[in-house]
Amino acid sequence: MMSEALETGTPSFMDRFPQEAAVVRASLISSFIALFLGAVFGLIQALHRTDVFRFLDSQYYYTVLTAHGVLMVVSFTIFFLVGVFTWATVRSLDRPLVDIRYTWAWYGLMAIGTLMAVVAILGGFIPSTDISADVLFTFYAPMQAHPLFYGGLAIFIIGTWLAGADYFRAWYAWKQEHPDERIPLQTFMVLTTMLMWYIATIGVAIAVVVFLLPWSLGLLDSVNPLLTRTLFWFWGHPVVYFWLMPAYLLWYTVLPSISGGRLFSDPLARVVFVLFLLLSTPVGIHHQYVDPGIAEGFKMIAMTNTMFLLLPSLLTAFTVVASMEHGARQRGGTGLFGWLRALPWRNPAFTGMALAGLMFAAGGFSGMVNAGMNINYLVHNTIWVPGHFHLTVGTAVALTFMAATYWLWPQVTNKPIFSRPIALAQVVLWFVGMALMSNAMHVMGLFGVPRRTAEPQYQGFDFVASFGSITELRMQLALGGTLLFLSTILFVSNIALSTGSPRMSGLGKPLSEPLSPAADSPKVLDNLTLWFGIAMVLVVLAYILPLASIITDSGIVDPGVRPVPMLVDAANGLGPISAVTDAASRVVAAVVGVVP
Amino acid sequence: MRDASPGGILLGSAVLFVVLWEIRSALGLLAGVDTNGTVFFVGTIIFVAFVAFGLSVGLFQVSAMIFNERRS
Repeated sequence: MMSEALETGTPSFMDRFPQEAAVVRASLISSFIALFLGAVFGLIQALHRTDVFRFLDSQYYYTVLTAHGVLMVVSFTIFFLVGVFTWATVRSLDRPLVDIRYTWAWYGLMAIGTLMAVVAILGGFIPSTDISADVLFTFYAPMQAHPLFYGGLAIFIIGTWLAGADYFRAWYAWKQEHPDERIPLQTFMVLTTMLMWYIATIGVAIAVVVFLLPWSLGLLDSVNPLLTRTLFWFWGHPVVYFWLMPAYLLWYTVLPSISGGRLFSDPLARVVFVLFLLLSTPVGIHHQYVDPGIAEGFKMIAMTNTMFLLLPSLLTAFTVVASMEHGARQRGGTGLFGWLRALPWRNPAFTGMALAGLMFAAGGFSGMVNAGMNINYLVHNTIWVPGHFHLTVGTAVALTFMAATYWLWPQVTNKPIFSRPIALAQVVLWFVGMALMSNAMHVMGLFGVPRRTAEPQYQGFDFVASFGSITELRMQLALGGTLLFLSTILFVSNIALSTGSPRMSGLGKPLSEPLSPAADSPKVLDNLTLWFGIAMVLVVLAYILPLASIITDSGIVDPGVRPVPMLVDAANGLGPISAVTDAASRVVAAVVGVVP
Repeated sequence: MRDASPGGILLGSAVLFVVLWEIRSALGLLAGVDTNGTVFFVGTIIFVAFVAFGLSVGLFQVSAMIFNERRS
């Protein structure tokens, strides 16, 4: 059992805000259920595609893959982040939410939406029903799901919108009482993240509500695959930052305190979140480098914007490591690198977050390969790509969330974590398992092994490995996936057993103040209207011409897309302005045609 | 000098294993050296186990920390 020495005598979040703590608990529990189910499907998938153990027919592989993807990157991550954001907003504003019934309403919508989508996905295992959603997490056309899936997604996203509004309401109420104060850092991070989310979800909302759902219901005969794909990626890349930004929030505001020190710079943290708000969305086309129908110039713009996005991540690496070093030196660490030993490595919350950050660096390097237009062709649609995002969302985000749980859970339950040694073993096991699995995925990707394939061995075909063998790499992938599953079991069990821990008081963990406070930064950083406006302008600049050109070339609901690469739209006889006006007239004609 | 803590040995062994195993990929992809996978894996495990065992029984020691390690 965790030692009572953890008690600080400080009132916990649950002591101070019991109603909000209940919402945080519900959100975290929902996310852990999704994590467990997602891990089961992940293990099935890893053992199936490596041919280690197959108990399902390969026709169900996409059902398994969809369940793994949606449960992990939609349900686990987003339920966890609304829990953390609720905690962070209430804690940093030091006031309760405006109306707890409203808060439960958005949680309920998210839960209902998730259940609908999961039922639709699991229906794929029952051939006798017409319910299925084997469309993967990347659910754009031409693959079609049951309306229940799209309806569930729409309701889930509406729930997140209302959650964001909840945080803005709390901030607005706080602002009335503190008109001259800077926005507290955690609330600032929550609000900028939600603004980014509002912009990003424009794309997926249009894709789902205007095209995919009516198409699934039979109201539309066809949809334009390229258009829905582009709208999906309008959301599909910034959603990566929606997962990452709560991890950043934890790295910036919790990790320094756990390290025994203080955040190096509050202003730098604000700059980073503003940069994410500005740059997260106008980059989605970098997922479409091999798509015909989008001119190369637009892809070049997306690549340039993506490379700019490295800046806030590099700033974060500097600020967080500097904060950790400050903490280590406060604890007595000395020397050029000797301070590393002074960090609290026996604390699973610290070790998990630090290892997550380490793996994120590796994920950043492989991400640069994905983002480069020319070198992307080498790895596009290979298993390299899952190797990359298992380092980013699968470790930087997931491991940070699990590690942070060991710190946060006692504060929202007033019950210590069941076992600290198991927690430490769990985060280390995740690190080793992911290193094995991700390494195998990256290397196999370089050898051309495809992603999203139940039997990449095909009929006796084997890929040529430049060293070792493909069999060896498959075994490495399977071993890594198994270790990750065991790590998940340890995590979920540890949290579940913690509910039996004796209730204690004084488990609150105060967060330290930054070395350089908000007062050191210009007030314009807190002008959310300004940054939201600039972000919208950037999105319009990045997307209006590509979307206009897609609609002009291939219609709004026309399934035929010309399979030819394009250099510039002018080559088609369409200048940029005429492309936009032509697309606009088509949209108007379509709306007029639908509305009687 | 003092003995390493069990947590430190666990974490250090994990990182050491990952670093050594990644070297095999680096040798193969960058230098074109095709090491024997089984031998490399077993060798890595043996080496990591030896280091962990040595640290746990005091065969090797880590530099003393000049502070009282806090559990936070």
